[in-house]
Amino acid sequence: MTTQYSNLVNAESKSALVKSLQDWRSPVSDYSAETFVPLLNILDPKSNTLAYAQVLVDALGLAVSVNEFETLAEPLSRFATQIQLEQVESFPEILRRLTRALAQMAQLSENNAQACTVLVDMVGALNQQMALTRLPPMTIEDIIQHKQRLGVGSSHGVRLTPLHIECLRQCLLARRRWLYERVANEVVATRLDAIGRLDTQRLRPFLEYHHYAGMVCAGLGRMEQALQMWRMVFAVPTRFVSAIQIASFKRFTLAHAIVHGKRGTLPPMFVPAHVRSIESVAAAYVALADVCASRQLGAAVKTVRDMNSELVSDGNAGLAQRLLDELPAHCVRACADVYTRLPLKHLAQVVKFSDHPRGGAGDGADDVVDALGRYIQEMNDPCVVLEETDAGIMVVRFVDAQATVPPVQGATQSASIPGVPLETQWSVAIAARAQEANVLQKYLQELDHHLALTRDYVSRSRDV
Amino acid sequence: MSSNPTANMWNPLSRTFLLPGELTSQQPKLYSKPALASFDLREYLEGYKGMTKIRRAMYVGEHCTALAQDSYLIALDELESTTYNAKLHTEVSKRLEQFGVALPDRGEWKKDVEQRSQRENQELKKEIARTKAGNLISECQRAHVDLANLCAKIGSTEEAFRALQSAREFCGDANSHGELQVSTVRISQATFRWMQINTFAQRAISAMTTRHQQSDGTDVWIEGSVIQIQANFGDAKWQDAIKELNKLDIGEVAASEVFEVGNTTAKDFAIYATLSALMALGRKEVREKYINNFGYSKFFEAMPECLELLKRFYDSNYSDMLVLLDTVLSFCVLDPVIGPHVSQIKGRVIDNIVVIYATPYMAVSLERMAKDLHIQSADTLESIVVKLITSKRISARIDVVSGYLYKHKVDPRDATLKNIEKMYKSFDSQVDLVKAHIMFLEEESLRPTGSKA
Repeated sequence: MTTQYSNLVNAESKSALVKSLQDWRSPVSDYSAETFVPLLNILDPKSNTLAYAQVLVDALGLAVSVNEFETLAEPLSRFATQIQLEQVESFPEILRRLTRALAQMAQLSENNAQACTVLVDMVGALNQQMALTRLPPMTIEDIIQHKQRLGVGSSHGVRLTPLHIECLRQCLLARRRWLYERVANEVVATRLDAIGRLDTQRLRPFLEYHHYAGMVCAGLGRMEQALQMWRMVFAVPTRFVSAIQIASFKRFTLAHAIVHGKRGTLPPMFVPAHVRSIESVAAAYVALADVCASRQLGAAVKTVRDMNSELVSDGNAGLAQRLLDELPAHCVRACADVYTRLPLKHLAQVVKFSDHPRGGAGDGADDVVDALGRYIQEMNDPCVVLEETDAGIMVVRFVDAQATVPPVQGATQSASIPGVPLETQWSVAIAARAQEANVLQKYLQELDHHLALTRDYVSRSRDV
Repeated sequence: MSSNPTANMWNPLSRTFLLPGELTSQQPKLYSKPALASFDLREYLEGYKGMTKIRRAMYVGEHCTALAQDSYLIALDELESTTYNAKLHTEVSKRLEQFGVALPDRGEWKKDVEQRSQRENQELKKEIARTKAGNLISECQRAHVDLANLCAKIGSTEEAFRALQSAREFCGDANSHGELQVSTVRISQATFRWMQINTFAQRAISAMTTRHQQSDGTDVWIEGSVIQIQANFGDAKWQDAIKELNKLDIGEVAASEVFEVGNTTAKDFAIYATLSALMALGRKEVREKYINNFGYSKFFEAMPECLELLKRFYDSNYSDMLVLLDTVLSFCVLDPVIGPHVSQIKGRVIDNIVVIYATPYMAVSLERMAKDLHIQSADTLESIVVKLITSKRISARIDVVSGYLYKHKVDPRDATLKNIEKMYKSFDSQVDLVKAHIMFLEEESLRPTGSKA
């Protein structure tokens, strides 16, 4: 094509290629995206990853119509599966250019799903190659005896790249359940070993990655995983409170109330002054979680209604609605601590189900009771059983969630509740868990020790 | 229009001042005359002296219309005989006029007390100056205390506290410091500021390195402890009151002169001890610490109903006990210490009874329990039981369908496995967080200076 591209494709050495990319100026719009397709067909993405990537970036930059994007689809998917980590590492900036180009493509073509699919493939390929660079895991004895660094350094193992974050972002914009599942299983599930140097920034990508990962998990209803992702946003030290942390805190608070029925606490390593700042900014969310913890359905519904505008502007209306849906279940389960059996009508009065949208739809008390009965059936909780007495009264019976089954001589039947180990296994289960807990506790103590050593480095931490 | 915005506001607890934030225009709740057969207003107030007697009489007047006239007359008598407080005298006189009582003109008395108070004030100030100049420490302290007592008589409580504050620099030893604190406590007791009284009482006790008897025969430690118990009751801190009671040797308290001071009576102490026992103790403890404790005989003589309450409690005769309790509490509502908390106290006594009743049984009928405990209905009892189960005072579960309360036993193996699972999850989560934290810091430490985060 032009001399510029010729030099790119036929670079004499890696350093010459990198130099050429550093000084690269994208072509003016005299060309069209389709012009680059023959070049992309000739180039091998495996042996010439950087050149291929730059040509793709330029082509995507010039594409404006859906047809043009479609012509680039095949080269994109070829590149996505054949991207080479080793070559990318020599010029990490190419990842940022690719990310920008793909984001632009998604915006102009209004097809976030396509961009996300390409990104998932790219991230998957990179993750596989990065995983091969993982160092052997250190034992606790290594840590104790040799005082080795816990981190693997920034050049080994699976590391964050701009592609990871854009992948999650496009997934959230695409709003496709199959895409959420794919991203959750292939990207989020892959453990990060380091933040690394494949991105010039460090802190912000870490925060963004875990914030978006939490949103993907929450979208699939995997709340525990979402909680852990959002907790990770507060794992790294920051000099100031970040807007990402505030957004994560709001979602974390709602998700924790959904799962546990009460407010969660941030990791103890997070600066208390920052905790107070965040809590004062997100005071409405904190108040909502506290109302949920007090098991007052009416007050919770009112609070959600009052803060509706804030929820909508924060994009948390769905989570809040989910919280309202789950709250009666927490109230019902709380009754298990006090009652063994009570009439459904009585339970409806105790939890004040008529104050809830699910219970307030009908006109009479019977409607509220029937609505509660339907709700309990939907809960599908083996510890909350709906029965009818001989007199025809609907009664709720609470069964203790036994982790073990009492010993029965010579019995071989399986447990009635799934997941409950038999008598013969309970001691093994307890012993195994106790041992694992001991190992983790020891590891945690060593991590604390390392943290004390690394405090010297905190003074060198940069502003976000 | 008065320049003082609080001038026309009702003043709780008969104070002539309001605590910060305590602005209210609500009228106090009125009660009928106590149902206690042995109650006699004059006899009740006879045990108190000085400002305490006056304040208590005024409290009775504000809360019981039937006794108001008599109590204000008693307050007026005490004001004239033991104080120089003309302002309070005027206030009490105005209240009596509302009852149509024609009072003699006390202008002469007011003039006289004003002159006397000014004279005594000057004499004491001269004495303070003399002893200060002559470096006579203990006399100087005594003069300050006398000045404080004079200010209290006039009704200037804040001036009195200032005089006592100044006296601190003239404390020669720990004992004199303790005595000074006791003087502070005695003056403050009439204010009914319980947190402040408690603090002063604690200071009095902690100032003493050894047990010390004051010149008037009272033991500082015993007096401080008794006042602390009263202050804890005033502040509704029941557990603290019970702890303080448990520390005391009741025989020593009975033998001490603390009730001669006139701020607390043996009847008060009997009530505090009895209510504490009913709120917190089991039947066996009540028998050992109270019924069979000879040290309490003096106090039960002053208030025989207390012993009867404890005996009925021990005999598990709860319905009769609660009837008698209502009678005793009808008297307690006129007490400024316990009065504001009567319904809370009764609730706690009932809670304790429910716990004691339910504990021995594997299963007990709620209907039967409500009848035995003289509780309105099984529904009312259910709400009490729910509260006790939630606060873990009872380990039981309610079967509303059958109307029974069943003891709830937790399988220890089950509990162990659940705890282990919880611990494991917590460690697991923390490990990921701390690893990420360290990973970030280590990478930061290896990064060349000047590059952006």
